[in-house]
Amino acid sequence: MDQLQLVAEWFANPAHWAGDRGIPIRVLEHLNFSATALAIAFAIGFPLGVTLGFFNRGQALVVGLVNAVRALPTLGLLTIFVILSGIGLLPVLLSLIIIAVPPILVATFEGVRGVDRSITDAAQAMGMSRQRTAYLVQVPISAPLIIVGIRNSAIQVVSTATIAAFVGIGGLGRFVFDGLASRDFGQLAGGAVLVAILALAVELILTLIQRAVTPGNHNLLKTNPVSIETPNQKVLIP
Amino acid sequence: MTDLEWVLSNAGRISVMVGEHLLLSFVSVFIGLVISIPLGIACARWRRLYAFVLVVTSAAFAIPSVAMFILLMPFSGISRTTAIIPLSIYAVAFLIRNVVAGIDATAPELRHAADAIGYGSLHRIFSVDLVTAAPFIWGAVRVAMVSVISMVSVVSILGMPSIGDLFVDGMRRFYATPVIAGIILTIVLAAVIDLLLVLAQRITTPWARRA
Repeated sequence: MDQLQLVAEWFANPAHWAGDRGIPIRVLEHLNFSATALAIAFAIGFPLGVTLGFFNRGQALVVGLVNAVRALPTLGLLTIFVILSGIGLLPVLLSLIIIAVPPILVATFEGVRGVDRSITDAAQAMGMSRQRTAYLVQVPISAPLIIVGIRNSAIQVVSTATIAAFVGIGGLGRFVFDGLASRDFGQLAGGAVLVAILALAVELILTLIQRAVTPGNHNLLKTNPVSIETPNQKVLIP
Repeated sequence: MTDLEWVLSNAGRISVMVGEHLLLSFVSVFIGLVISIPLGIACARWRRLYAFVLVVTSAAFAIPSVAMFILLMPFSGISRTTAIIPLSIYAVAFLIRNVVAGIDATAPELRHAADAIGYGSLHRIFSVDLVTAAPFIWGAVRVAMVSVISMVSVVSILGMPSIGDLFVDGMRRFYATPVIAGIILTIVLAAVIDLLLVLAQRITTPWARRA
């Protein structure tokens, strides 16, 4: 079919792989702002999750935050930040951080909170301070779940980073939006394919890391889903 | 910053967008539900199928919606179908784990009791397994619905109508009012629908409240 051919031709053209508008540069840009947003989100969500989880407090806050962010339209968020602060990397990073914090926060919170009391009691009985117990006992035990949170966050960020191009920033979304503007289906779909491949690659890598930190059961297919709470039921999120 | 007059003078256009937005969200979640319930029943029985389904749905979940919309465009053009297929897939990704978890939560004694009073397996699935699974499924429907409502906006980038049109409009003219109106509208819509779903859940699963 000719659409498929258009995409294949787009990929085959060596001009698309070179220069500062080429595919490798766009992939790096995409990964760059995804990773930055994720790192900042981790720096916010992880300590907060550990603290709240350790004291087993603030469940309403965590659940409320997760549910509220779920309802926020990312495209709208990005647009309003651009209108308020001008075109640049800042609005993109801000909106990515906002969607990236909740999965990390909720996974860390649930993980740390869920560690068996007898284990933390034992650690404290051996003279570990509360902070050491939290970071040296509870965090490692809940590491697999925390990695799931990071993975969910990363997937969302990499996907959403596509719309950065909508507000004139680089990344793989550029191919999509430039292709859309010039009615060039090869470029449009080529960009979409690249985003999909990148998102799947990120998911695969983080799943492998998660598997590496999970003791015992090394079944790649068995992932521990993060759950969030609605008023009457815990809901498992992929 | 916000210009209420603009909103009022465009109320007609906005209500059309809201209608389209709701239509896309509801149809997608409904299709997701129609797929996940039988699939979930099958998955609860055959665990190998479940492992396979989980890999497929979580992979599909990782693919950005913009990418999925675009990859579907040569097949279904700029149409509702193009929007509904990826959104239904996301809905399935949200729902499937909870359908299976709900069915798994059925106490074995209940199953034995159902077998003992002569229920066939189909009868048991409908009057025992799905009944215990109902609160789980409702919870997931709520999460899926809210997520899908916030995701739908993206279809506007590709020229399909939704509340996202307000964002595209605001961006094009660098004008904050439509964007703020769109964000508020999406959140209110998500909150109202969530509330309605809670009511529906209470009415259809009165036993769950006692737990």
